[in-house]
Amino acid sequence: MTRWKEFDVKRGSSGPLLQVQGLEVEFRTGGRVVHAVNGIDIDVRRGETVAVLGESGSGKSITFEAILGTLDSPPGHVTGGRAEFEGQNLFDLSPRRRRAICGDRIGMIFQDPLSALNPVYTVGWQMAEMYRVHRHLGRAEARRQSMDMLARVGIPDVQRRIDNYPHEFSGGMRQRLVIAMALAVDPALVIADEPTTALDVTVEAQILALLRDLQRERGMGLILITHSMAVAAEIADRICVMYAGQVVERGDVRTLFGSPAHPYTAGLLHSLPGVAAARHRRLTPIPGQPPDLAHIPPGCPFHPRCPRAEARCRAEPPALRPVGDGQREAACHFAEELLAAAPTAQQDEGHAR
Amino acid sequence: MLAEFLFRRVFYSCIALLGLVVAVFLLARLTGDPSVLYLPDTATAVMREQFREAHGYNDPIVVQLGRYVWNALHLDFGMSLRQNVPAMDAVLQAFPWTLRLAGVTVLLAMIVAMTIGPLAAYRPGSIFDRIASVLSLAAASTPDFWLAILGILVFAVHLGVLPTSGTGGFAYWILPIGVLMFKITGTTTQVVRGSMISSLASPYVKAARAKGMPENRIIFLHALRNSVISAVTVAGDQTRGLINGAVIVESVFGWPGVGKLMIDAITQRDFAVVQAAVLVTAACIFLLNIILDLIYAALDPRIDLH
Amino acid sequence: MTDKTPDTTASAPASNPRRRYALLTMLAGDRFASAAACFLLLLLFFAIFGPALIGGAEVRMNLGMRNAPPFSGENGLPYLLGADSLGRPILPRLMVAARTTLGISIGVVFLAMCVGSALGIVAGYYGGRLGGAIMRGADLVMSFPSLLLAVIVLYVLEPFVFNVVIVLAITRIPVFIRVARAEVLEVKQRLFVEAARSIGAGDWRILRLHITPVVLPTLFTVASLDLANVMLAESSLSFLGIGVQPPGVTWGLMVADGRNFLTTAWWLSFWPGLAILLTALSANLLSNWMRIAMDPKLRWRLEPEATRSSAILRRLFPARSQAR
Repeated sequence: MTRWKEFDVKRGSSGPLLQVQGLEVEFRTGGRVVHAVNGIDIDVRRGETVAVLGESGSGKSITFEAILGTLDSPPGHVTGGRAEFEGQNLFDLSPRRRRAICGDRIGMIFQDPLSALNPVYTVGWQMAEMYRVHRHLGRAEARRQSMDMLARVGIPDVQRRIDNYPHEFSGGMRQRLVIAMALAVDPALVIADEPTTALDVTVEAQILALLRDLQRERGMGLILITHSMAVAAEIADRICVMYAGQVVERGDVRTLFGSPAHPYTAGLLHSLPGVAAARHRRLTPIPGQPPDLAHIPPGCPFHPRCPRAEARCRAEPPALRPVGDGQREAACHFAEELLAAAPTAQQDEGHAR
Repeated sequence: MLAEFLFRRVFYSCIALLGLVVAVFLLARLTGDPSVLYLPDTATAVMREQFREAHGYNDPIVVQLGRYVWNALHLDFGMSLRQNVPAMDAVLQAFPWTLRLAGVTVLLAMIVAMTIGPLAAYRPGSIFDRIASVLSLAAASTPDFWLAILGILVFAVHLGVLPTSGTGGFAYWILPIGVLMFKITGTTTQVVRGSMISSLASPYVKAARAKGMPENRIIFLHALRNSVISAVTVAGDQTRGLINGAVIVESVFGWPGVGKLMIDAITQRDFAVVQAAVLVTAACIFLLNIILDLIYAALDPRIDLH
Repeated sequence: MTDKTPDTTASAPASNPRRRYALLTMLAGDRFASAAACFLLLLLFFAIFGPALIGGAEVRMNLGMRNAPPFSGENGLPYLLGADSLGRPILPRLMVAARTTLGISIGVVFLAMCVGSALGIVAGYYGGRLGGAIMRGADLVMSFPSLLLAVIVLYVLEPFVFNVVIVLAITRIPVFIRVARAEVLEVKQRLFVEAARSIGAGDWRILRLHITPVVLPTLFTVASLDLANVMLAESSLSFLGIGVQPPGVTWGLMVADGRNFLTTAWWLSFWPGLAILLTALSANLLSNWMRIAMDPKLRWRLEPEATRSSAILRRLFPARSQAR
């Protein structure tokens, strides 16, 4: 048994803050069924950062929309699994109760800050709303705390800018606004969905640093959804790699990047343009395309693109199981072989850390 | 910026209005003997000649145009041949009645649309939504004069609870406003509903839900505020329907507004009044459009006018 | 935005037999739209052939039948809906009026569509000063209530049918200008980046072969929506007495005639008004359906979910596969 399974799930202990098991989400439109999420296991503890890594279409954002209850529900449905937050299965709660918990104890940072902010209300109004609804503060006090929080995330000239509208801020500033709103009432868990994708590199570094500082300060759990390995490597403690709606590998960030146990992870690492030693190597992208989630290939979903695929891979879906020293898990029939046969991976991915 | 915007809009409206005045003039003068428009068919040739001399219709066109425009700017459209008062006075007297009718109608229509629209949008496809949609569709297909007549038939003739026409106490308002409201409410409700559906599906509403905001707050504070903007956008189109409807409602119910004045003037061949009524209404429409633009700009902070 | 193939399959007119079958199936699946289509077809039939069938019954005055009530079977079929103040049977009159009303309405819509689309296409394709002037003019006409415009023009020009058609068409033209221009602008940026211009195709050719087929479906949808509005406008004009004059007969005129007999013979006004309502409703329903059917993004809503009528169609044409 690995450490994952031994955790005590009682609230307040050192158990996981959020433990997702076997989550399945389907989208049904016009006769087609799209299997967006197919059996995900994820957990986060207090004070740690877990990066959920995957291409677009791997189901990473949908997983957390389903957990928070903001999934577009006529097409999308949760068809299986549990999501235990602080000991309670969120899917068992009434929508109202769940909404209350989610806003208060879980903060969400959205990918595109401009569309996540309501264009017709001032930033101050939207910020104060958090305090007024969740903490029942009066208008003046809410405004004061909003200003404090905005200043904390680095908005200059707060006194004046609190009455500005979202479109009057730059992209990086807007992302800070969204972070401020997510952290306003001191949640235990923060989910950041591609927080730096829409930003340029210098701003990205600032935002990541801000997130790291805030986490250190408040000790919350942080889930970082991203498709960028660099971002994941920058601030994550653990990584979950997703593909076609499933977790294919998870473990500590250093060991995972140092020696991947799943061909997909290995492929991702090899397709990165290297910095130092690997400069003269040709880029080797993973061949093929991610699968159409309405028609996921049988067996292992990655097998059509996998250089090591064999007949077994087509027939039998590999389960996520501990490999190597038991501190990490991978969903591949040949994980052990992969680990044994790849000492070189450690050398030319030095830029990952 | 605001002053500049206002100035530009007023300027263009004035030009349009002026163009309209000239167009009416040309229409009237170039299509034959103007006395035909003013005098009844029974007038003799001698009377027509006298009329033409007296009103300067034998002068060159350009002179006539100049005189006409000059008069128009002074709001002088001639005398109403039926009522023996200046045409403009007749219009100004009728105007407040139409304003009252239209004003109350729009107010009620907005209230209804802003209540039913969001509720229908919240559960699209539900029974409530479908009934609302069917009613709106029926409202858009019903001829208002027929509805007015039906209203009179049912409520005044058969049930005897409401008066058939005229003005007076509260009861006299019910049928005219009810009929006028019907179509406008239907269209506006559908517009608000459509806009609310897209607001409720927007990313900022999803974000607000993730923030843990309760549903009522989401519907009426977050989403509706955005939808009001598109409702105002179509309000301009609605005023056209409102005026068309008002003309008919006033005629059927004997409501002494500008619409009834216009129709009566047509049947009585009182061209001066017809002109005055049409031009005054046009001026009001232009003014209303400017006001709507201002409201729209005030509501949407993304527009920078101030 | 790279369009690998121009979107011709999605919006090609129903010239392709597979596509026509798919349209029919979708129509059969929507009960209201198919009922509306049937009603309109029936109406069209009676409007065209009805007067010949009833042979002048509508003007046969029978003073003994003055204001006869409807549904009294012994008076015979023409008097099914009653008779008016001169004893003329209402049902045949409705049919003749249908011809006038529909004729005017279709004429107006057709005229407005042709002129408006032409202007709109020019405005969208060439843009510039001409385009701006066209749009400004369209806005001006559009901001004016149609009734007011009709009032003053028909007063001056005498309410002949021709003038009524022209005036009403003028009030509808701006809508078509706007729609056509918007469509052209959207297509223009798609196609020009593509090969068309680069292989030296002339403007006229591009307009004819590429732009028009894409713009046409939207225009038809707008036209069908407009049909209802035009009908209502024309009826309003007739009702007020400033539209078609007697001896012409339209539904609006019939309603106006019946107004004096409201207390004694309510059916005089009721049936013609109902006819207007049903026709406008059908046109609206059909145009709603068309709007969804023509838009490839929304079309999935109409995919037949094994309704009885679509099952019948499938049995009738078993060999044809779905065009999807």
